[in-house]
Order: sequence, then C-alpha cells, then structure tokens
Amino acid sequence: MKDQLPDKNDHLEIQIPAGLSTQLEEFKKRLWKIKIAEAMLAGFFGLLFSFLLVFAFDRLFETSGAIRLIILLCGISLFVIFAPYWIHRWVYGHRRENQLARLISRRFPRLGDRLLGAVELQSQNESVETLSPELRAAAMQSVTAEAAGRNLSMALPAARHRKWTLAVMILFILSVTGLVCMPEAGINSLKRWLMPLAQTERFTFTQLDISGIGSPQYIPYGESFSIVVPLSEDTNRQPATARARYGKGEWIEAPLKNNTYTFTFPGQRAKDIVRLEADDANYDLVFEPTIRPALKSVRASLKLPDYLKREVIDVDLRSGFTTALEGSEVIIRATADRSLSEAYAEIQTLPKDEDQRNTTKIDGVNPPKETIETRRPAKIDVKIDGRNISTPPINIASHSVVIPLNWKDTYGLTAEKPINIRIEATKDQAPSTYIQGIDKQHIMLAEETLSFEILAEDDFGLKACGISWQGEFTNPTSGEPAKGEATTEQGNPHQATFNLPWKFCPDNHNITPQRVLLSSWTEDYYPGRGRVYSEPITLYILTRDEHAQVLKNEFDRVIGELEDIARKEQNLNDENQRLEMKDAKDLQKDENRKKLQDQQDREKENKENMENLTKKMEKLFKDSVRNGEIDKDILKKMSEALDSMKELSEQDLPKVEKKLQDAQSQRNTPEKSKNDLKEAIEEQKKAIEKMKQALKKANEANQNFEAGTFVNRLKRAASEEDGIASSIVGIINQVIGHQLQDLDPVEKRAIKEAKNQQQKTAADVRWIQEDLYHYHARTGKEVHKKLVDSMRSSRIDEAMELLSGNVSRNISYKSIYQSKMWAKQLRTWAKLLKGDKNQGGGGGGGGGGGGGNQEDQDFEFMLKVMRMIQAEQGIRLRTRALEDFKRTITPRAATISP
Amino acid sequence: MTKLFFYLLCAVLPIHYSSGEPDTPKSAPPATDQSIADKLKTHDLGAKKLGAEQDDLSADVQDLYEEQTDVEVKKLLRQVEEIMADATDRLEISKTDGATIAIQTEIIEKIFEAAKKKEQQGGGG
Repeated sequence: MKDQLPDKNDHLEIQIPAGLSTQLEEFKKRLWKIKIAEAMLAGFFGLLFSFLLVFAFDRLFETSGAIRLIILLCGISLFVIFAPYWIHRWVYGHRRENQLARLISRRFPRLGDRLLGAVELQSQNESVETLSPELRAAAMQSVTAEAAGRNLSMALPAARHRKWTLAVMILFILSVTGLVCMPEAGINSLKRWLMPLAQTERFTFTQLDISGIGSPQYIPYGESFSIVVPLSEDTNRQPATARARYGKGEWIEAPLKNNTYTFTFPGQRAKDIVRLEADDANYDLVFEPTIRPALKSVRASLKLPDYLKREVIDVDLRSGFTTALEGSEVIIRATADRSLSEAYAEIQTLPKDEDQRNTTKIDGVNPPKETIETRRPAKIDVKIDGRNISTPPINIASHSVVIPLNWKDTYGLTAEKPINIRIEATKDQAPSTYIQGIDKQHIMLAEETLSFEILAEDDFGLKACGISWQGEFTNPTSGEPAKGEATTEQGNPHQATFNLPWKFCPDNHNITPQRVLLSSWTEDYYPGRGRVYSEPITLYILTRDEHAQVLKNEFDRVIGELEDIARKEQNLNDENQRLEMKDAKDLQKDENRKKLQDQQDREKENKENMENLTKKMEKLFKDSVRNGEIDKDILKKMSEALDSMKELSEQDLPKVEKKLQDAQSQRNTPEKSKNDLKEAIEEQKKAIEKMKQALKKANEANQNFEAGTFVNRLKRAASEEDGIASSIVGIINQVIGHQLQDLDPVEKRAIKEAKNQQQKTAADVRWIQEDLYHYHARTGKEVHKKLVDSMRSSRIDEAMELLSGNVSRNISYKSIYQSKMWAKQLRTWAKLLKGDKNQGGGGGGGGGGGGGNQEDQDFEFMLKVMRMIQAEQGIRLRTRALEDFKRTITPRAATISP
Repeated sequence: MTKLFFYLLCAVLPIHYSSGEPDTPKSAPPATDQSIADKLKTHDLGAKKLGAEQDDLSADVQDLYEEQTDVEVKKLLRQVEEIMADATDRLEISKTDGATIAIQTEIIEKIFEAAKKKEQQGGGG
C-alpha cells in the first residue's frame, strides 16, 4: 500500500487529534521494544546455543572443524541474519500510522479500519472546494473517541521476548556453569567454537600421549603388533582400562599398567583405522601394514694391510661371513630397499681358543680383567645416506669379530632380526715352496743339466722366488764347498703362485763333485718374515769314476733281473712241455685250458718284466755312453745284450704269448691246440736261448766293467788320499806343533774328519785287494795277480792304519807326506791295470773279428755320434741354464738378443 | 747293431727337442748391487767354459770327418763343424741367448742327419 500525504500547498491538512496520535505513538514504541528485544535475544540464544553445542559435542567425541564452523555460522546467523530481519520487519515496517493501523486492524478490524480512515483523511488530497474540514474533524474525533476506549496493547502481535529471555538466561547460566566448573574444557570449547578452523586440540579429561604414534603409523605386514599408549602428564583422569580396535575388528581392552595401555593386535595386511578409546578421549589413528625393510645388498670394502700393497677388495657379505687378514680395515656397506632413518651396529670380539682357556676359572680364580674388557661389545657410528648405510673402518686385529647390524626405516619399522656379520681374522700364512720333477736324491755328473720346476705359493702375494744351493764335500778336501743362490722370478702383490721351469748345471756354477743340497726359496710381503725354503733335494755330484761305479752297480742289478726273467721263462717252458705230453683231447679239458691260461698270464707278466728291464738297460747304456770313460768294448757288449733284450720284449716273448693264447681257443680242434702249444714251446726255447746269449754278453760286459772299476776305485782312493793331504795342508799353520786337545774346535773337527776319511779309504783299499783276488780267481788274468801281490808286499793295509793313527794324533807333516806317497802309489797301480786293460781291449777287438770289419766301424761311428749328440745336448742345456741364470741378474739381460 | 744305435739316437733326440726352443723372456727381478758383478762373472766364465767344450767337440767332429769315406756324410760333418764354430764364437763372447741355443739345436739335427745317412748306407750295404 502506498501512503500519500497531502501537500501543504495543494491540500488542506487536518492533523489527527493529539490523543489518538499519542495512543498510536505508544503502541509503536511498545511494538518496537518487544520486537527489538526478541531479535537481540534470538541472536544471543544462537551464540550461546552454538557454544554449548560445541562444548557438549567435545565432551562426547572429536568434533571436526567443519562441523564446528557450521555450528558457529548457524549460531551467528541468528544475530546476523535473523535479528536484522526481525528488526526490519517490525521496526522499519511499522514506523507509520497507517502501518500501525493495519497491524491494529488484525486484532480490531473495525477500529483498525476507522483508524486507517482517519489517517487517510488526514492526508486527503482533494480540492478544498470539495472537502468539508469540519466533517473530517468530526470523523477524526469520533475515531479518537472510539480508540480511547480501547486498549491498543491488545492489538500487539504475540510477544515472545520473555520466553527468549528465559532461554537465553538458561543458556547463559549453563555456559557460565560450564566455564566455571570445567574451565579448561570450557575455554577449550570456546576456542574451538570461536575459531573452528584453528588447530585447537579437543580437551578431554583423559589425555593420552599419542605423540609416539605416526599418522599413518606403519606396522609390520602380517605380523602381530602392539600399540603402547601412555597417559599424558596433563590427564585429569586415569581410567582403569582403555580399548581399541583395528578397522571393524573386535575391541581389544587393555588395562592401565604403569600409566600405559598396551594393545596387542594380530597381524594385519590392509591399511585401516585404529579406534582408540579411553574414557572421554578417543582417537582415530591410521595404521598401515608395510613389509619390513630388508637389505638388498651387503658388501664390505676390505683394505688389506699396507705391506701387501693391494687395492681395496670388494667382498659380497650376503652370506654374513668373510675372512680378513690381521691388520685389515673393513668398511661394511649395505643398501636397504627403502630409505632408512636409523642404523645400529656394534663390534663383538670373539674369544680365541686360548682366551677361552684363560677366561675359565682356574682354582676359583677369575680371569684377568683385560681379557673380559676386550670382549665387551663396542658400539660404532653407522652413517646413513638414504637407503645406504656404512660403518666406519673396522680394524681387524687378531680376534675374529661379529657385527650385528640393525636398521630402522623412515616408517619406523625395523628389520625382523639383525644380520650378524662375522669377520674371521686370519693370519698371513707363510709361503711355501718345493721343487718338482726330480727325485729327493739325485746322482749326476757335474756337466749334466738338471731340469725341474720350482713351485711356490702364498695366500696373498709372493715377493720373489729362487733357488739356493749349499755343498758339502763327502771327502776331506782343501776347496770351499759350493754355495750360491739365484732369484728366479720377482713377484708382485698379486702373484700368489709361481711355477717356473728351471735348469741347473753344477758345472756352470763351478760346482765340483760333492754333495749339494738344492732348495728353492720364496718370500712374501710380510714384514720381517724372510725367506722360506723348500725341502732340499740332495744332489750327489760324482766324478766320472764314481759315476762309473754307480753304473756298474746298476748293471749288476740289471743282470740279476735278467737272470730272474730267464729262470722264470725256463720254468714256464718246463710246464708247457708237461702240458704238451697230454693227449690232444685232454688239452681241451677245462682244467688244462685253465692251466694254459695261467701259463699265458705268467708269460705276459714275464714279457712286461722284460720290457721294463729293457728300458732300464737303455737308460743304463745312455748313461754309460755319457760317462765317457767306459770302454768301447764294454759298451759294445752292452749294446748287443740290449739288442737281444729288445728283440725278446718286442718280438719273441709276444710270439710265445700269442701261441699260448691260440692253443686255448674254443674253436680249435684238439690237434690244432696241440700244434699251437708245440709251436709256443719251440718259440719259447728260442727265446730262452736268446736270453742266455744276452746274459752272456751282459756278463762279459760286466766283467770288463768290473775290471774297469778297479782302475776307477784305485784312482778314487788316490784322490781321497790327496784330499786328506790337502785338508791337513789347509790347516797346517794352526795345528803344527800343537797337541790335539789344545786345538781350536774347528781344526779339531777337520782333523777328526780327515781321520774318518782315512779309515774309510783304508777299508776301501782292503776291499780292492780282496775283490782283485777274487776277480783273478775267476778270470785268471795275470795282471790282477801281479797287482794283488804288489799291494800285499807293500803292506798297504798296515800303512793305511798307521796313517789313520798319525792323522788322529795330529802328526800333520808325516800324515801329509804319507798320504801323498800312497796317492802316488795307488795311481801307479791304476795305471798298471789300465795299461793292461787297453791291451786286453785291443785284443778283444781283434778276437771279435779282426778289429777292422764294417760292423765294428759302424758301431764305432754310431758310438761317437751318440756321444757327440749327448755332449751337444749337454752343452745346449747348460747354455739354457746359463741364460736362465743371466736373466735373473739384470732386467736388461732378460730381453732377447737380436 | 747300427740299427739299435740309430734307435737309441732317435730315443735320445725327442727328449730334448722341447727344450731346444727358446723360452719366452722371464721378467727379471731387480738387481741387487752387491751380487750383480759376481753373477755376471759366473755367467761369463760358464759361457767361456762351454765355448771351450764346444770347440773340443768340434775337434772330435773333425776327427770323425777324417775317418769317413762317404761324401754325403763328410759333407754333413763339415757343415756340423762350421755351425759348431759359430756356436763356439757366440759362447766365447758370453752369448747364451735363444740364437745360440738355436744353433746348438741345428748342430744336433745335423749330426743326427749324418747318423741317418750312415745308417742308410749300412742298411743298403
């Protein structure tokens, strides 16, 4: 409705009577007062109610910030929205009289209409000529009179301000009560209500300390786990129990023990929320099962002691075990499958066996304190870099150590169990070396070259390797025994083995006949250890005479074996003849066939023996040729015997064996078997005859050999006498004119050795006499008898004994004189015998067929050629040995000359 | 008889063929001042001694040469003598290297060739 007020200039205005106006004004005031009060009270109600709502909710559960914001907005909205609206409606909307009249008309319709009419009359805008002012005044008076008789308060709309007041009062009292009685909770709720989006924690009377629980909290996948929740220090209450559940699982109740609740859950596999409730405190905690952190790789950087000069070694430690040399440094490096936050390690020193003995109480006495101290675990600082962890360098001493290594990832999960890394402390073992390829004892001539291998090995690296030799004269002599060494190879820190072929020729090093101990040596890098030597090889370096004697002894053995083979062959032949006497049919019986088989086996065995003996004889022959001092006739006879032996082993005996085999054949007729056996016997007889011929040749050769050895033996005895004289000459200045007991131990020892040698030579000379006597008895040669007689008449036996006495009593001058004299005499006898032998040899040659036939010439040619080849081979080997030796001297010498 | 000898010669030769070729040079250890001179002297003396032995052997070859009648054998022995002279010369100046060893191997082969030639004549005759 649009109110139109009359214009003063255009209309005639008549004011409402004062009484009515006052009455309306009072009505308006009354209306405004009530409605403004209602608006304000509603606003307060909203504020107080929303606060109390938050306060109440907080006591029951955690109210989220959003809910609190909504509650706050709702609470404020009464003030901010409702109150202005209310005021606008009732104050602004009822400020004019006509508005009031209409409001009154709702309760008093007739009066209201009349009041509205009066208000309209007041502002009537018709022209003056058409209006009656008096009539309008009368109408207004009438309305005023009627209104005066009415109580307009009755026309006011329903007033609720009292109820609102009551409600606000109640809420206010509740709020004040809450704040007074529970000030912490009240203030906390007030904060949370006023600042819903602020991170104000909800106050609870029971307060749990969940600072140790992450969000999410990672737990081991599929493994039972525990949540330990202590009460906060600020808690007001201490409930006897608390409960928790994982997701929608069953509630687990935990009693309060030591101000802590411990909840143990079964293994979980899915991420979920753990609801934790204790009195008014409740928490929703996110838990996420995660597989424990594992190590993808564990390696160690092993730095060996400096003296080994080796690079750092990378060792795979997945097995949890490695060995490290004493003095090494070990850095353990591990990589986990996720980032780590912590890692722990400690060094546990393990006792040695002797320590264990030490730590055992002996007679109730405790072990020394130091022993226990050294075993106490020592923590080490482990460095973490993302997924990688590394220890500081760990020094490995003489004890082995165990290092338990544990780690925790950024989720707070630890390894299921720590890995124990065991580092076994080892000692640097001494290197070892040995010589391979020759016997422990070796007989050789000085010009021969020995080929062998030097082997050396060490656990780490070899510094060098070589050979050394130390000689010792078996007979007294004035010379210096041989002594020397050569570095055959220089090693390096990575060279753990050596395998060096080496050639050694005594003559190249001016080593005269004597006994030489040859050893290889090697050296590793361990400070102060020095060289390690191999077990020595004993080289008996012989003179040609001694060598010939050795060959003679070997020849004796060969002849003995040949006789044995011939005897066995004869026995086999006898047995075959016995079998032959049986009927042809009987031969095919099982028992006889078995006998034939047995005969064949024995024949085979004899053949093999002959093969081996032939090889021995071959070697003996080659050595005899190499010796150079063995007579041509001896070699010829030896070669003839060897020729027969070769034929026997390659042709004759295999033929006999084959016939014996044929005689056993199942397909044979009885006659064929008998015939085969007969042929076998015939062949066997031929073979036996050949063996006898070979034996005859060998014996002839041996006789000549033996005669030759008398010369050698006499010459050797002469050399020994010379040696005795030389050894005494060497010390003559120190010993002459002194009693034996006054001599220095060195000279005393030399005298004693000379005496022993003299006794040995005296015995040798006695044996030479006796052997010559027997040899003469066998051969009947005059020269031998003459020699025996000469020796006996010289009374050399007694003279030798006397000489022993003189040497032992330090009658030096006389001893020298006598030794030299007998040396001369012995050489004279050797010459006598040799002269005869040469004559006999020539005669022998003549007896062999005139001495000038083609066969002899060919033999001589071949013998010379063989000697030449052997000599050239010897020179070549010695050249090689010299070159090897030269290459050990200077680096430049190692290069190949153009 | 000569057949047996020839067989023995054949048996002797292969044993040493393997050692006839020069080895690969060994890495030499560092020299120690004290012993180098002594060791070099030992080497020189040893080489000269071998040279003398080689020369003696050459004289033996000459003797054998004079005893022979066959032209082929004589020719081979003459060659042996000449090669031996080379070996002697080298040894006298202390050359013990691979070249000297190769010459010595050639000597052995030539002697063996002469023996073979002689054996063939013996077989034929």
